[in-house]
Amino acid sequence: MEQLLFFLMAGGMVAATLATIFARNPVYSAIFMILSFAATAGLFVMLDAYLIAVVEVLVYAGAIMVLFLFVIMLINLRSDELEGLKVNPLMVIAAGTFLGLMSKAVSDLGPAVQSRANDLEGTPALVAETLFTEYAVPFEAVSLLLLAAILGTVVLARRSQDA
Amino acid sequence: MIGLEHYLYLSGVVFTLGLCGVMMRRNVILVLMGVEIMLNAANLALVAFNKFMLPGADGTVAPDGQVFVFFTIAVAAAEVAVALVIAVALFRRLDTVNVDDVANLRW
Amino acid sequence: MEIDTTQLFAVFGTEVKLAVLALVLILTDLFIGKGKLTGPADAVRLVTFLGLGLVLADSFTLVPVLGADWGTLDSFAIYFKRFFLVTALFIMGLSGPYEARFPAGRAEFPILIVFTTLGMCMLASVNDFVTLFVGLELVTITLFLLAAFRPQLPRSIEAGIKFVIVGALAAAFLVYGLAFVYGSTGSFGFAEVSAVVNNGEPMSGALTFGLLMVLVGLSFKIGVVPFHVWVPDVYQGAPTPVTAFLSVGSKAAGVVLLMRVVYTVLGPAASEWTTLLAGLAGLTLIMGNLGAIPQKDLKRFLGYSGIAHAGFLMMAFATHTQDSATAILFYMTTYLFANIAAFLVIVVVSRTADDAGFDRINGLRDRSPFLAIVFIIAMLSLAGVPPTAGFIAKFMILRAAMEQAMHDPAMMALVVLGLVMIVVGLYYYLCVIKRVFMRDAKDTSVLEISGWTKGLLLLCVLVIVVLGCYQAPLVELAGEGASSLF
Repeated sequence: MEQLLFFLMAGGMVAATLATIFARNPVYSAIFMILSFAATAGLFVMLDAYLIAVVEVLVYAGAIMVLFLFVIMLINLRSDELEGLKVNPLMVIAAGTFLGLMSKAVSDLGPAVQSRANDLEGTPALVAETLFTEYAVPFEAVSLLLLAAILGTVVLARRSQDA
Repeated sequence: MIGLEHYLYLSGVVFTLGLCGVMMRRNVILVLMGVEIMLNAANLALVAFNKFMLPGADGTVAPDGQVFVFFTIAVAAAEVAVALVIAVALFRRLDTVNVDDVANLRW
Repeated sequence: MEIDTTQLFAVFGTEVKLAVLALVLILTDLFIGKGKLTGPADAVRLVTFLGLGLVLADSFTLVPVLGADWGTLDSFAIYFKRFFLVTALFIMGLSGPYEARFPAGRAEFPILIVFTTLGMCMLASVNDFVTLFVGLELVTITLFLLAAFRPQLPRSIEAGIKFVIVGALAAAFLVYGLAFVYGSTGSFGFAEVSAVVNNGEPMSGALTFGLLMVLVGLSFKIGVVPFHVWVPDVYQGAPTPVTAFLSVGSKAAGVVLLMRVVYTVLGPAASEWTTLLAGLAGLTLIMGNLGAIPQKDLKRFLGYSGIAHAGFLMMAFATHTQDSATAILFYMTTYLFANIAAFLVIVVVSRTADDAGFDRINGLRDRSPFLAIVFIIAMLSLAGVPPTAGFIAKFMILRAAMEQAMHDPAMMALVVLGLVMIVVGLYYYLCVIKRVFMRDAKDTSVLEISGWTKGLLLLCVLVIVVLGCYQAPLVELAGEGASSLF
C-alpha cells in the first residue's frame, strides 16, 4: 500500500514536472506545476510532515502559483511568442554531472541517518515550538525580508505604470 | 519498503528537471518556474532527511529540516514576488519576456 | 527552550537597531511632507544618515559575546559589522548626486539600503546555516530590487532580471546543498557540522556533495568563475550607487560567509579542498583580468576588475592559514575605499547621462584636477601599486600564499599566475589612467563638485594613502578579527 502510494505520487510529481518544462503554453505549465506541488504535498503527508504539507498547498500551490498565473494573464503572450524548445549540449552536461554527483552522494549518506523512518510527526505544535524558540532570529529576519519585498515591489510596480 | 534513497533520488531527478527547465526555456516566467521546481525538490530532500534522521540520546528527533522548509517556502514567496514584478516591468518597457531579447548588455 | 532576550539583544543589538531605523524611516516617509516628492525623501535621507551614523558609533561599544544560541558576536563579526555600516554610509553619500534620477521611490531607496545593511550585519554573526540562508536572501532580494530600481531604463531592468535569475538559481543550489549537509550531519549548526567534518574519519559522500553545493551557492555572491557571468552585466546596468553597493557590500557579504564556511566549518579539513579552491582562484584571475582589457564602459570594467579581485580573495581561501584570513580582512577594507572613490568619480563625471563610457574620463585633468588625482589614486590602489593600500593588501595575500607554496605545487603555480595577473592588471588600469591625461574631452566644461562629495573623495584618498604607508593598526585589528575564526 505504502509503495503503491509512493510510486503514484512520485510518478505524478515527475510527470507533472516534465509537463511543466515542456508545455508550450505558459498557462499549461503553471497548471501542471500546481499538480507537481500537490504531489509533493502528498509525499510530505507520507513523511508525516503535516504542517509543511498544508503550507505547501496554501503558499506554493495557492499563493505563488496564482501569482504566476496572474502575471501570465497580465502579460498575455501572443501565440507567435510561443517558443521552440532547444536542447543545448551544455544543459545535458550540467544535468548529467549533477545527477552523477547526486547519486554518488546518495550511495554514501553517512552515520546521521538510519534506514528506518523515525517517529517524528511534524504537527503544528511541534514545528511551532522549534520555530519560535531555536529559530526565532531567522523567523524575525523573514518578516523583515517580506516587509522589504513589499516596499520594493510597490515602488517598481508603481513606477512602471508611470513610464 | 520505501526508504530514504527513494525520496532522495526522486528529489534529485526533479531538481535536475528544474535545472533543465531553467537552461532550456527562454521565457523569463518559465525560467522562474524552473527555479521554483528546484527549490521544491530541495524541500522534499530536507523533509525526507528529517524523517530518516537517527534519534538523539533522548529518543526524539528535532524537526529542524521541516523548520528549514518553512523558511525556504517563505523566502521563495518573496523571491517570486520580486522576480515577477521585475518581469512585468521588463514587459512594460521592452514588450518581451524572452531572455534572448534582453541583450543590450552582452552576456 | 526559553529565549534569553538579554543575550539575544547583546548578539543582535546592531540588527535590532537597524530594524528600528528602517521602521522609523517608513514612518518618516509616511508622515513628513506627505504627497510631496522631494520633502519626504530629503527627510528620509537625513534620518538615514543620522541613524546609520549612530549605529556605527554604537558599534564601537560592542564587546564580544561568545557561546550564544542564535549567533556569535566575535571580533570577526564586529569588524565586518563596522565594515558594512561604513559601506552603507558611503553608499548613501554616493547616492546623493545620483538620486535626482529616481523619478519616484527616492524615499524608498535609503530604506532598502538600510534593510540590505541589516541583512549584511546579520550575516557577520551567523553560526548556523538556517540564519545564513535567511540573511543571505534578505541581502540578495533587496539587491534584486535595487538593481532594477529605475525600471524606465531598459538596462536597469535588464540588470535586474539577469541578477534575479542567477541569484535564484544560486539559492536553489544552496538549499539543495544544505539539505545534504543536514542529512549527513543531523544539524544546521556550524559547530555540529564542523565536529562531523573533522571527526577523523573520511567525509561521507553526501557531506562532500552538500558542502560543494553550498560553495557553489556562495561563490556566486563574490563572482567566482564559473558563477561570474552575471557580474559585468549587472554592474553595468544597475544604477551606479547600487553597483557600488554590489561591488563592495554584497561581495563582502559573500566573503564573510565563505570565511565562516571555509575557516570555521571546514577547518583543518579544508586542506583537502586546496586544489579545488586554487583551481577556481586561477580561473577567476584569468577571466577577470583578461576580460577587463577590451572593456569600453567604466562600470563594466570595474565589474571585470571585481572578478579579478575575487580571484585574489579565492587565493587567500585556498591558502587557508590565519595570515591569509587577516589578509582577506585587510584586502576588503582597502577595496572598499578604492572602489567607493572610483564609483563616486563615475557618478560625478557621467552627471545626467545614464551610461559611463570610457570617454567620460577623457581629459579629466583639465576638467577637474582634483577628480583626476582621486581617480588615479583609486585605480593605482586597485592595481596594487605602492605606496597605496592596495599594494599592501595584495602583498599580504601573496606572502601568505607563498608560505603554503613551499610544499604545494598547486599553490606555487597559483602564486606565479597571481604575479603575472598583477602585471596584466597594471596594463589595463594604466590604459584607463592614460585617458585622463592623453585624450581630449568632448565636453570640456568644468565639473562642479559639491562640498560633500569633495569631502568623501578626500576621505577615501586619505585612507588609501595612509594605509599604504602606515597600516599597522588596521593589520592588528584584522588579525584580531581573523584569530576569532580559528
